[in-house]
Amino acid sequence: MKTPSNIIRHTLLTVASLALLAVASSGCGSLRLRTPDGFARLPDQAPNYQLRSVSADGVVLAVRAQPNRVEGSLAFWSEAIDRTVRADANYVGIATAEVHTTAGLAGRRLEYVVGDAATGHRYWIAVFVTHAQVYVIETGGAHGPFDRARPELERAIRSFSPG
Amino acid sequence: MEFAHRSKSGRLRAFAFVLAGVAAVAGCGAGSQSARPYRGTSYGGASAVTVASVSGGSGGDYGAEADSTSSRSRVDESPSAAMPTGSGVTASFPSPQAPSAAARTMTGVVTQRATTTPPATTSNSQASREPARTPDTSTQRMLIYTASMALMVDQVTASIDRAVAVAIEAGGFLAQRTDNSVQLRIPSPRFRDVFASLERLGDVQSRSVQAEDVSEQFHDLEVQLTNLRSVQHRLQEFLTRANNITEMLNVERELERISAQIDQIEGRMHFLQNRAQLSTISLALSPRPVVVLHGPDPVPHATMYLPSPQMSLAIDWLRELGLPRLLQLR
Repeated sequence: MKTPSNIIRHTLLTVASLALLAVASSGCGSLRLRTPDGFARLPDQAPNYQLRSVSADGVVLAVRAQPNRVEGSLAFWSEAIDRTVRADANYVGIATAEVHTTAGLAGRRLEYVVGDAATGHRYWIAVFVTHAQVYVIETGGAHGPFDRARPELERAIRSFSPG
Repeated sequence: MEFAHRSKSGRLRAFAFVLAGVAAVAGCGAGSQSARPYRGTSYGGASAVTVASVSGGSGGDYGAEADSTSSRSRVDESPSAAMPTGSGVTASFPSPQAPSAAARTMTGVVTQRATTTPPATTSNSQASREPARTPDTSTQRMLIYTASMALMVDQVTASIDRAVAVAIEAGGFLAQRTDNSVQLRIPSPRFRDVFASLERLGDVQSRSVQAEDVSEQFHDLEVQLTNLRSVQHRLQEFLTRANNITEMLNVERELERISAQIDQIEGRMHFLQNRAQLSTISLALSPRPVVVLHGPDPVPHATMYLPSPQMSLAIDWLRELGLPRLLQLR
């Protein structure tokens, strides 16, 4: 029997479900990335980054999500990002690696160095693409601290989940 | 001479004259024999040691030299020679030119004896007259490496410090340093390794390497040194057997001259050895226009020099990627 209270409860449930569905479809609020050991998560990094964490010796890990309006593939976006970064001659591309998250999402990791081995920095960009979003995981820091944090950074990238 | 046609007194005078001549000749022989240090064994007997050891010659080789030495010995030893007082010969001191003349003669003698072919009689003389055998250096080249390199680096001072550390680690040392350049001395066996290590410090703008072969030059100096030392040794032996102050002064003067030549040659050889043992690398460093980032600072200040983009998609967020924005925490 439809009583007023029942109608109100049903309406509220419907609205809540729709809201949750909207949020889930957008993917922005549900992406997950493990905070590496030795890193601290920074609050309120929007709108540039969805998540950002930093180590005590200056290595930074961040995730940004952008709408995939052109519906580009992983190959397209990784190539576009690589060309844009290397348009700055300070960045020297040293490697490209295929990566997979624990959830099975395929991505590509672009590795760069800036400066010389003694005083320069390392910079990684891991790209994951869905039909709706382009996820860019950036991490960078001075050579020494970055190399020490490398295992944790790789583990964090594998833990990525777009939600 | 027509003795038969002279009077008795005339014959007596002629006989006295002949006796005086014979006495003079005998005195010459005695004086000559006393100059044994300048004679060969064929002349002087057991006491003629030095010259024999140098020349080992038979009498025939030194006939002319013996004449000159005998005449010199007459001049040198006239104050002390046992000249017959009754012969009418006046003893006199040697003239001021005599010592130098004697020295020149002696030098000529030494030089001549040093260059004549040694007879197969005295092994010592043969060994001393031949140039001393030097180690076979024909297969070991002496190369002097000199290199220069221009590098573009992020931080000049730190790169210079690193270059010096590389040199020290290789057994070398810092020779010269300025604000943007450094000169390093590196052990030659490590030259290539160090040069390759220095190239990795930054972007090489230019490099040059020169190798100077001084093997022949060094070998020539070795031969000269050996010969001079041989001469020096003989002069030292002469000095021990000098019979008077004049001879000693002459020999010492020659010794001083030979020693000066030896010092000069040894100095030159040491210079070449040092240059060959330690290569020279000169580095000129200049700053590279790169991103300057302050890593661990809480709010790093980033300055980026961007060239013209080679490609531009109409996607603004692509240009937001990069280290400056990533490391600028808030």
